[in-house]
Amino acid sequence: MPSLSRPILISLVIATIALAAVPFVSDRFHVQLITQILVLATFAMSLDLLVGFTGLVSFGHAAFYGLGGYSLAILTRDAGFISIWQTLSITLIVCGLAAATVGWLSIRTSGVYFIMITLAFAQMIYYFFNDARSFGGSDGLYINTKPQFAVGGVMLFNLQNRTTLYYVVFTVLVATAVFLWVLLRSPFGQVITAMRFNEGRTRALGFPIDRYKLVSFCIAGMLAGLAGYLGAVQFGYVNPAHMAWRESGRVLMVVILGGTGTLFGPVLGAFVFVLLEDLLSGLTEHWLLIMGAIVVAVVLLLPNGIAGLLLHMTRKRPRSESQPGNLISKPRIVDVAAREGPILETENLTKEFSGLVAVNLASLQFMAGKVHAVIGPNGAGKTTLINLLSGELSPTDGCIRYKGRDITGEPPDSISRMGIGRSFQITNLYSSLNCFQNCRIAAQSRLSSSMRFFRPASHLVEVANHAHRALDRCGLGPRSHDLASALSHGDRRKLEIAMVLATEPDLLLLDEPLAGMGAQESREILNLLKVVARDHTLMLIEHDMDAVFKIADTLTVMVNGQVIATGPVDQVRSDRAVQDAYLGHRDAAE
Amino acid sequence: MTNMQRKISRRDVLKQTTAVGVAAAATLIPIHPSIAQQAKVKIGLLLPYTGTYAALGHNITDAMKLGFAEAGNKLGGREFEIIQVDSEADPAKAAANTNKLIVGAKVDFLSGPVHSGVAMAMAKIAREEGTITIISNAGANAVTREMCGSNIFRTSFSNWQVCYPMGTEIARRGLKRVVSVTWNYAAGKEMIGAFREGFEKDGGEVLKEILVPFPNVEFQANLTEIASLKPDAVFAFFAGAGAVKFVKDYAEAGLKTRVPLFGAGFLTDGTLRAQGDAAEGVFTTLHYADSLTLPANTRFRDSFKKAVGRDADVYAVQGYDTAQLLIRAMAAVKGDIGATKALIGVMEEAKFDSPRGLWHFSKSHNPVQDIYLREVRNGDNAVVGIAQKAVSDPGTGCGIS
Amino acid sequence: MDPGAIAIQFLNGLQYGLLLFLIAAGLTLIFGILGVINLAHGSFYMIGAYLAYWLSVKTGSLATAIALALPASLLLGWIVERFAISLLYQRDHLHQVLLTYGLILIFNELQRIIWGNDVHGVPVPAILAGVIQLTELQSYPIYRLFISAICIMGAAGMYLSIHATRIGMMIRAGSSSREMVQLLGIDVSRLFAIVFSVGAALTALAGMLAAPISSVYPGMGENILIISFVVVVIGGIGSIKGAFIGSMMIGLADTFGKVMVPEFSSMVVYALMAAVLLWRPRGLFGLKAA
Repeated sequence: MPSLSRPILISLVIATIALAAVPFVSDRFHVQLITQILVLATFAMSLDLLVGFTGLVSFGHAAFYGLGGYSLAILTRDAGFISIWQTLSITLIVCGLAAATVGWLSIRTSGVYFIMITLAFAQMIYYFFNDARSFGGSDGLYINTKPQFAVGGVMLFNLQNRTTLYYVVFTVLVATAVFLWVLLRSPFGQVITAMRFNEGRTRALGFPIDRYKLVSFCIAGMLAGLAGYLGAVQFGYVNPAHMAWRESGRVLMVVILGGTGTLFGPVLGAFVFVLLEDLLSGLTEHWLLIMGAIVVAVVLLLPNGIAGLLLHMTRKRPRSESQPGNLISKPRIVDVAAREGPILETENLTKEFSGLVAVNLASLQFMAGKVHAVIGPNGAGKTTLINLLSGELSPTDGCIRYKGRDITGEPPDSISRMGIGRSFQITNLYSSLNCFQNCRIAAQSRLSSSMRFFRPASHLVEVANHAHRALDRCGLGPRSHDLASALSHGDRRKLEIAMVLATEPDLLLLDEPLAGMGAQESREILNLLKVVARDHTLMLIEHDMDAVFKIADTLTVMVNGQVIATGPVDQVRSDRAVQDAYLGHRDAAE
Repeated sequence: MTNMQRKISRRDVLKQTTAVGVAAAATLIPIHPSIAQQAKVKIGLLLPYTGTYAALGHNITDAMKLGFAEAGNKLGGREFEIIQVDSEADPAKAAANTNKLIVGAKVDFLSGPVHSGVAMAMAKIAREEGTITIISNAGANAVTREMCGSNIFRTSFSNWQVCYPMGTEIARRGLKRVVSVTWNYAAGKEMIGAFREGFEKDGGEVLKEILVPFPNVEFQANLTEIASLKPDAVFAFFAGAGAVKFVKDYAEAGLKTRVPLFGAGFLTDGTLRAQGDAAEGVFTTLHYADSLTLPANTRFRDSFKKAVGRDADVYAVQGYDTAQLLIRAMAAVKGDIGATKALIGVMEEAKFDSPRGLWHFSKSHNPVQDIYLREVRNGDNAVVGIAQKAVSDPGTGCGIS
Repeated sequence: MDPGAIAIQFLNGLQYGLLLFLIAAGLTLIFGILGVINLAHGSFYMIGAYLAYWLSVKTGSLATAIALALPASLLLGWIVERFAISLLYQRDHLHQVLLTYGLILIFNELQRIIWGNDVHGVPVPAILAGVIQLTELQSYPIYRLFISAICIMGAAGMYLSIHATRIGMMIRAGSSSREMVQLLGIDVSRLFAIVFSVGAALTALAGMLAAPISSVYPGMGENILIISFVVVVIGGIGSIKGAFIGSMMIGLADTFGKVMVPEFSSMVVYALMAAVLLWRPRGLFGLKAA
């Protein structure tokens, strides 16, 4: 979440106070209207959690809003006395279960397929309530009594009273905002933010991102149900139209208009949208034309919504993160040479792509504590090999064993958690975060679970320490607070390595760590790698032969998917076949 | 958080605060500018002015305005203004829109809507607030049954009353096995439900009630199904584009010449030009027909055509009668809006010499009117006779005494 | 249901599916090559229908109307691409959805301003107005068979041009990797403009052909929009073959669903899409990540 500048914070406080004062200064109609807007705002915030913070665009969110209203309507159909506690808890459970089901089924897909499948499920729910005879069908259902807000038999609030209802809705909105704020600062929140910025990286760091997406989806669904419940309480009427795809589109527009990725954006969006609709429909019969034009203009000119515009106008320079405390963390126990047998080995590893054999029957062994280099001409299959080892690709045949255990076909996050870290040839960082934050997410992946919601992530002192240590080792300590996007090419590569180090791997897979480096930078990186090699096992792909010969213990040469030689450096270097294929003949060069 | 802040200029704070303050204050400004003269009577219309039903919304409104103009544009001697809100035929916005009129604009009378889902939301709020409400189209049975209210009147029809007489008529013709077809939504189900009631009581058998997903207009599968059931006749309810398509498809599937088609009047109202020859010979029941030769109708159709430039239809008639109701009521209380009870009393007793014929209200405030049997002849709904005289919706569950 | 009825229902489903195919083919190409989610696709269907109606009233012949309306649709597609869609190529799906949603609102209102709110019928051309007697009670309109024939010809034509012409080759390449096509030095903006215009024109053609049987009314684009997206997603984005299979599946599922599970027939199409996506998260023949 972008940190808010002081002018915005002050404005928000004033706005909150103004909203709290509404019933005292407005007439009945405006109290009702603003209640309506606040319900929409809560609904929009729940969608923003998905769209703005987790990066999941759902086109079926209105289904949960509708379910919230219908739960209340169905529960209160025949009952005379109904308690808000019972009905609300049942509603939240129903919505949570529905969201869990839909989410679990939908999260297997991504991108536009995800958008469509959420739409599909929402439509199914809509048609269920529209077509089935038992729930009022297209005419909807009435809610004849408002739920009783009582504790221990004592009636606390009478929801019939418009002012009371207003304050209840207002409180819920503020509570939701606070809840989401706390959530986003927690370790959980850090992970979903990371997911939004760079899903591939986050998965490579070892986070089971599907699980996080699911939890986020459920929370969003429950909050939407809460909003729907309140909407139903206000108007005493529910209709399947509340769940139709048009309503999902409408709330999506509200979120984007207001600004995704902020908490106050959706609230702003709700106000502006409703007032705009109101204003325009009174102007002309063809108000939808103007509405359409406004939507187009907003998308083109204000891609970050109104909140984005406000944030931009009051933009602050990047601030420092809080300094962690001074707890000394235990030094890493290195268990490098103490094992027998290779730390990683492959047996007849093969990967075929529709007729093209990228890696053919590769049988390799990597011993612990050593530096292994894999070289070969372009297209030899080196990157495919590293992708197979890190789990990004599944082999067509053969197996991979890590520390004696078969890990063939494991997904990248699982492999990362086992202690295999990987860097990417094209730097794959969180560009909008600073160096420390990049490493912290990496370090956080080593926690047994980041599903912690309530304490801020900045409280995870050990995680912060690991991050700092990794940065220091790579010489990036002084640049901890610089944005990743502002670093030089060489420093970005160092940050890549730092992130991998922060995950405390035993084995590092490095894909062309020296690619694109000038002479000075190459030297720096090489020195770094030598330091790292002292207590880690390294496997690297590289083209820079001088560097390779300086650092590698063993060499594997690949040509056209085939391993033509593998073994100690000197041995491989003088191998005739290798020289023919790749290295060239020494006598000719000298 | 640390204390590293950038230097805040006072102007920034002021700018932001003002912006938000203005936004907040703007929400407190009334939505519609207050009218200088408080003496104007306010009539709120919640009708669709955009979307598939826009044509209906416009006809109802224009006919109302015509009615008012004929009465000198005064209600009980007072000036009035009409506040129109576009319902978009969207039940999701219905409650908010009704509030806008009743609570926001504080209308004295509320009228509309076209869509029954909107009507349900509207009726609930109207009942709670006590505003005199006149339903000028939506036929949902419940509005004048279990959901009736002393301040709620309907000048259009109930779904039941339009279709029940057709059941009797088809049975009378000796056609015993019928398939009914409509969209799968509340209004459709009420229509064919009423038909079934009228039909079965005279020994008819409904072979199947085919429900087409709403608002789907792909009927091929259903037509094939109808053909395979080999009924004596088909009873259908569709409206608008669906009606056009169904009648055309029915003819093209060769069914029309072999299995006579009957329907609720909406099947052939406002759709004949688009349907062309396909509609010839289709029988329908409705509380109105364009070709009624009553003097009130001839007069109305002429004035409407002259004033608005379009041909009047059943929706226009309903709007016109709504205006007559208001004119009559306000005249009786001499413009005193506050006299709600008196107004309601006058309205309950009102008798209409309407383009559709003579009618008055039932106890549950639904019209008691003749239902005509019409046949499409030469591109017109010709009135063949009266299917049932003075049909009154049973009003089951209505508590008005 | 007796075998005769089943056979006719089959015919119904296929005919519906073929019409869907024309619409979905354009959509899947636009989606696959341009990478743009175009919600306004249904609007072209509506525009085609209205043009057909209006021109057939003016010229008295549906054939002439279509002959005039097709180039008009191509032109309109080109304009929309240049001035609106091309702004979306670098944007994410969310913004594409929103901007094209705004376009729907604009198109709908323009249609209402120009042609009003009424429902219009378009007469079937006289030579095609006959019927074929299928069973004792039911006959099948020749015009529907004609539409199916045109759609099949369209499908064949598309298949040939995609597999046997240079442009087709570029389209196939672009479907699997847009960046690669650009790197190869192909004038991408022209390619995109062509693809979009053709896609829009195909959809408009579907609207024109369907006008006599579906009638012409405001908002007719929206019903077809969602279904065409379902078809594209089921078939896999960017795949014409997928669009064909997907439209056949939906055509049949919708038809038989109405007859066999009328209470839940609306849900059938969506349940089918969900099932396909669960089995193949990229659709049946999906080529690349969305």
